[in-house]
Amino acid sequence: MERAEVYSRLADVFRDVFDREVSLADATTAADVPGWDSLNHITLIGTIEDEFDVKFPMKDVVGMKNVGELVDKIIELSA
Amino acid sequence: MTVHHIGYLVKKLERARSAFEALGYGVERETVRDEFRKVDIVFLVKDGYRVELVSPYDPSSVVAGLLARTGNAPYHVCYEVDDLDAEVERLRDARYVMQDAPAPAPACGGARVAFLVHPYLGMVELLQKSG
Repeated sequence: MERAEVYSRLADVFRDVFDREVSLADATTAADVPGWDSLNHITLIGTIEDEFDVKFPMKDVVGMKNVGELVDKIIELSA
Repeated sequence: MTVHHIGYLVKKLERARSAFEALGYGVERETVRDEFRKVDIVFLVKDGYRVELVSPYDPSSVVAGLLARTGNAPYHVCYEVDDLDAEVERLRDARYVMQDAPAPAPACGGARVAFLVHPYLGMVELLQKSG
């Protein structure tokens, strides 16, 4: 899957979870997105798993540092 | 898997407790501080139904942000299970995501619990049945 496609679908996921448009880039972190707290992060991961039909290992659920790592992991898991 | 309790997130534990007592609920277990989750908890029962009042005492509690968003409200159903680890694995395959690794819950007599979140349902708690 191309990164552009992942970003496009990820934008839909973030819109679903946060109820607004969220500007995403590789360097985007939870601190950049109001409302992206630890609980919403779990909801975000579940919504991504459903959208991309992937399953994150537990260590990755809390271990990813930014959106770039998230996109990399989605591509890896969906390969 | 059987329903054990409904968890209510509240800002002021003692006032919420009084509000439930006015509805006829009785305290089942006095208030316990859960330092792992940074919440104070009290269980009440009525007509065989059990509610758990949960109130964060520190802004870093995992449910503090949720309380700010929802206000006082029910937020999870807890299910008692025979094999906690097996149920966690089963629910992972049904798109539930584990919030924390299973850990003892002081308010449940030290029994292991796990919290999971489903993107289209919200939070559930699994409680390991004793014995």
